Amino acid sequence: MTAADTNYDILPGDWWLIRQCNLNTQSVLRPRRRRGVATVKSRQLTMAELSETAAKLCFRLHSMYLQGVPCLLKELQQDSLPAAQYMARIREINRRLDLGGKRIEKLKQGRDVQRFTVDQIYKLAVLQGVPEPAPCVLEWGAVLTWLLLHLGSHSVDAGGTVGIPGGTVPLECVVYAACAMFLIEPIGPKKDSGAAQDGAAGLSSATWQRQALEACEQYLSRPRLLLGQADFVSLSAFLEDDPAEVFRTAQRCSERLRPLLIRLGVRR
Amino acid sequence: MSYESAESKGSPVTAMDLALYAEGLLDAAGCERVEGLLQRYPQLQGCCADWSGVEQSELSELSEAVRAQLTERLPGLEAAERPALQRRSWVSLAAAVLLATAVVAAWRNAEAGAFDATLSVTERALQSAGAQLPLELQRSRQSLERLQKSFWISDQQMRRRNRLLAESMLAQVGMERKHVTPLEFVDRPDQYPPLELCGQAVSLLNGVAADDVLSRKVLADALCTISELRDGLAAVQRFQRDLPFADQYALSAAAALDGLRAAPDGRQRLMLLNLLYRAAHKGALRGRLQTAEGGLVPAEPILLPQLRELMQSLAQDSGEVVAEGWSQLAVPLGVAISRLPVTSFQDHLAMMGICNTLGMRLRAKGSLARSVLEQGIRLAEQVSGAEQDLTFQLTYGRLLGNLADDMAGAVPISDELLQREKAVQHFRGVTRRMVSQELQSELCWVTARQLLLLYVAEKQGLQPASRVDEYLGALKQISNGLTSFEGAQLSLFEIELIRAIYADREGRVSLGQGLVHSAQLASRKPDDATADWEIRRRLFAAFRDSACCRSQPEFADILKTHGIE
Repeated sequence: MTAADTNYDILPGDWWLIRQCNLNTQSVLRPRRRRGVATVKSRQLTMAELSETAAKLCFRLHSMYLQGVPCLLKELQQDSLPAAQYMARIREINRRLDLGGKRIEKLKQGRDVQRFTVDQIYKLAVLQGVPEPAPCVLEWGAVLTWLLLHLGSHSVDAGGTVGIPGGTVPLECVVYAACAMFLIEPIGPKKDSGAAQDGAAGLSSATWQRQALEACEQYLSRPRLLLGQADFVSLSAFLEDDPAEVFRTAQRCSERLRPLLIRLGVRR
Repeated sequence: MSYESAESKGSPVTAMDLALYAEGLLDAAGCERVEGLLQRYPQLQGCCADWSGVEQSELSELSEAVRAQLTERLPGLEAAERPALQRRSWVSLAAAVLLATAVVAAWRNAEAGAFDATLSVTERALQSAGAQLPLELQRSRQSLERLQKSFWISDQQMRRRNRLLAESMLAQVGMERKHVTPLEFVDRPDQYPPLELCGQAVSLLNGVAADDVLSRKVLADALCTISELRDGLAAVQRFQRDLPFADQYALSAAAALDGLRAAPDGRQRLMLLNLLYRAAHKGALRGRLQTAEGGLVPAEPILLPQLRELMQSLAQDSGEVVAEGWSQLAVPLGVAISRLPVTSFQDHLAMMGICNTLGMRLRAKGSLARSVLEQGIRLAEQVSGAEQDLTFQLTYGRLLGNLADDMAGAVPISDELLQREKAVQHFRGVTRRMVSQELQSELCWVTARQLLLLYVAEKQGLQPASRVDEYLGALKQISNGLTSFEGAQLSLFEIELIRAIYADREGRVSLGQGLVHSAQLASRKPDDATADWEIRRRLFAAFRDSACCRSQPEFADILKTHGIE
């Protein structure tokens, strides 16, 4: 039996696209500015905020990757290398990057040396010879799913903030994202219209499953910023020996998501 | 399968942790792990330097919100005031007066209340451990800078504001020192950003009353930091750029003396004395100080009377006569300071520095110098938990290295080798954990001296040649292939001899660097054979058979002058 022979009940990523939806969680303290006056109000998180946060996290991770931070972290925590190489790289980056008048002034004063912005990622990528620096959709979808799963299982703390335990993004979120993104019906003229149709997404099982597996394979060849070492090995093994396990894992994640999305008010 | 990562607890910090931390999304346990790492490796702080737009000025906005809530009452009161005045009866007049009083009182309460609220928020931010983070510091400073003196704000509130602002500036200095090095400002030290910030902090607190103990402590802290920064700039000018450095030491000494005056019995006393004594030893009295008008005047007439006064205060019980000049004053002053009691970690650190400086001052006096350096080493060994403190590690290593240098010629070679080995191992261990140019320079210093002594020992049949090779290899790594000895405080003749060892080992005379400086040194033979002369004689004798040295025309004269051939 191949992976494509089975239909899996996986929730399409359409819920990622919802913006104006207050999540049914405890209110979170958010500063806001009204007619120039700053206030702090307690209000509910929206899907838009969650989605933007996920995107920012992904871009920031890429910025760190291009500056060599993940390698540095690993080496520093293994006590295998002094940070001199990293500092040399940062000095080289600072020397080469034209950060604009104010930025250069700040740089001279030692402030905000590696301040994250999206255009900075492209500049860093150019310096490092990386042609495609932006995080992929799979990453954003996986982080958004992870954030929502966390939000659904942990209450907001007394200080009104959401505390995420960190570490790395679980494998199930990554494989769910790989499947869910291809289950969204894309806009424009339909391809593969001759094949058997399946469910609301209107795609054949064979098509989206093949695309999801390809996305996972491609993802493994990228910097793989989200996955820990153990999850990376597991995903490689699934792709090699048992691709169906990718879909089973994604399905389990999807099963957890369905009631949660209803409880949070994202879906009915 | 859990959707919490298995790697999140008790595990290394990941890039995701840093990203979540920077976005303010990481949980408390994660924050603890990240902050622990950032403290150990401040160079990572840049990775988290960005704050999301939503949270950017949460703290300052909080204080603004408090202010806004309090002041929102005003329009309502003003609206009530207008019809009252229109009736123009005595009742309405009285009501108007009453209302006006209420408005003024509300205004005053609102203004002063908002002021106090902001100060309290800042005080809490500064007291919390998180104040070490740039975000907290920036917020505190911005909030305080917005608070200005008004009719309703009391002098006491203003003094508190100034003290807190100065404190947040000093905390910011701590951050900036990690990011911007004195080397970048070696040609324009007055523009060194941490120094400018300290100057602003001092100007906020200048003229503070004698009974305002808290503000005087902060003032002493600021002056102590200025003295430290000037000391760092002087060291860079001296070793990295070979620039005149005495002015910076003079300014360091002047700031330390000001600090001692600001808080004579404060917790910074030994730190200030350490900085003062070090600056004076390094040549502060040969430098110049700036007058209020911006001119430069010699430092000695200003600093020396203050140093004598200090000596007087330290020696008042013993009735010692205070010497006139610095050369006579230096040792008794150092000895008097070294007898002061030591309690806290900062005291230990300062006293270690004092012992190191005094030990170097006493170098010509043999056993006395060694006992002072050993006192410093004993103090260092009493300290625990300072593995990540750069100043401690530098001072401890310097004490070990200086003790070895001091033993030269006075003890058997094997004892000196053993002592310096401790210094080498110390610096090797620390450079693996911490990144610092100073540590590298000190490691270079002790490794180079050990290499030369091992070479002497090899020629005397006391050590195998492999030990020399091992140290030569290590020194090549540290000094970029024996080309970069900046900051290592080595004499030029020592570098020439190290290159000669290298050239001999490689079998290529051309790799040597000549013996010009060695010849110059040899030509200045003192009338009496000093300890230094004897040590140099022993060193040159070891090179008697060096092919590289023999190829130099000056070498025969050098040997002859030293009575070797």
